Amino acid sequence: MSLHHVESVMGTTISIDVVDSHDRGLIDELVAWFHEVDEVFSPYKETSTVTRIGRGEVGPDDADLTGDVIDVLHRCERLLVETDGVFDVWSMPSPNGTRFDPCGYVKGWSVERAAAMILAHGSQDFCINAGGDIALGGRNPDGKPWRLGIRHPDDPLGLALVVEGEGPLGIATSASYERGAHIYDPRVDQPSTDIASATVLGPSIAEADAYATTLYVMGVEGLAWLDAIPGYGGCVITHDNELFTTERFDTYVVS
Amino acid sequence: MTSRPSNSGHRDNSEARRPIDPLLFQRLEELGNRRAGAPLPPPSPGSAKQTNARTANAKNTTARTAPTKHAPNKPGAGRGAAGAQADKLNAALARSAAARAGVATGAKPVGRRAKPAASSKVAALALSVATTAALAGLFAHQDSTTDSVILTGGTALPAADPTAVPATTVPGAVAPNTVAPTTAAPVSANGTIADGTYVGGASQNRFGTVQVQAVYSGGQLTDVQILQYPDGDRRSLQISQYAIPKLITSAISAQSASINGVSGATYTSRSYAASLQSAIDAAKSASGVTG
Repeated sequence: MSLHHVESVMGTTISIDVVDSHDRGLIDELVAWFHEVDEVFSPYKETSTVTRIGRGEVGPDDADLTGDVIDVLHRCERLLVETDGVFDVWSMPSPNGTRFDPCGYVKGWSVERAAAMILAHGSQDFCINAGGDIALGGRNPDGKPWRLGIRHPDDPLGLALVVEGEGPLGIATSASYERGAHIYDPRVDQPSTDIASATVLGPSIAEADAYATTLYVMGVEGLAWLDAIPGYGGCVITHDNELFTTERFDTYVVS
Repeated sequence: MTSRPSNSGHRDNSEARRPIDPLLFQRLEELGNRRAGAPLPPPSPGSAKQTNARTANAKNTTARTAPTKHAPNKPGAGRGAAGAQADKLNAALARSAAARAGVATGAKPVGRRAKPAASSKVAALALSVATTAALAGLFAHQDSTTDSVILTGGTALPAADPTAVPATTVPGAVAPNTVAPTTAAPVSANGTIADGTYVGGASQNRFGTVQVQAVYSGGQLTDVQILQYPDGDRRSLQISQYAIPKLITSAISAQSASINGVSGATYTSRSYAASLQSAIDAAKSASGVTG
């Protein structure tokens, strides 16, 4: 009486667990959603809305400006202000050659929407993991809080720490260990490499994803910024494997 | 099953029906004007983007704004050698602080942060101070091979009395946002720092006022002691506490942690195959948990 599915889409691999459902149709719905997001928001696709926007081909009346696209644009605009200009999808070097790349928000946002679809379906215990961006609902298959590892920066198969919590909870990690220096600091127009990884958790995975990217760029001092946002906590791991955390984050850490 | 919190935190798409606002029109126009691949104008610190809507602890955030604070940390951003040296020292101080706190080699790999001594608190906090003039000066000494280095922002105290330096009588204790007068430090002929206690200038950062003193013995930095620390209210105390690092000495075995998933940086589909998450998924499939 549970669902488990792994789907390769959006350039990553998404693991879906729904504890309290056996309706295969829910998985089909979620998989279709992630492929739809890929079509619209992929900066790698020539015909995606994101590529067209980046090239300046989308005017205010364009049919591609769907509610979802406008939703993402609005939230990215708000994050730009909220992060003191650090999270700036309008100056990201994009794979399509433009400077518009909302990928840092879209992945978490799409996971959050998927979580909402599961809830609307009537299930409440689930875990969606899209390449490390995780949305949790309710409890795990044992009826306990979900238990998640945060990858050790130096060891793809090892964990730096373990956190535990009930949904709704989103967790996202930004780091350079997998894709190299690809997280951009728009303020200096250069990739950011000062720390090894940054993890943020909080009620919304969409926001947590963007905040993790922001925290990675801000580094240790970004923890003070993050701590001022109600409901969110985080940690930073330096290249020397030093761990800095906020108090709210500590309440989730399994000791 | 007992009652549990609802999942209402996951938002629906109600925002999607909002009309597009003028700011986004402007963005779309900007993108239209900026043809593919055209370079952006260089970012300007203090631009309208950097609206400081949510700067933490606004009461204590007076010294610097986030953009100007971070920009100098980037290579090629015009930062001076002294600043880079200060960063190196700050990192080194943080490491030694962690070591003194008993969380270095051989410590338990995971757990709550150890409670370090006050001296390590301030050393770790130093990591979060973008440029502390006093530390820059200390580092200049530590790293020096010549005898011409000036201890900027710090006041050298007599080597004969390295420890009896109550904070209230420290000559270098000055008001926030200023540093003590530059004083030539006693540097021995072979370039090492003379034994003694060196007081840094008081430095105002976003957490409050920090002032440290460093103790040198045998030419080595042997201790960093706290003179002023921003623990005046609970808010800044919280921030100060998470400026204390814990050293992660080794990775936790996923087997012993019995986890449901892994948060790492973006897995590409290729790297997923070699990830812990893929192993977890494979185990689930093997145990018959399928859709």
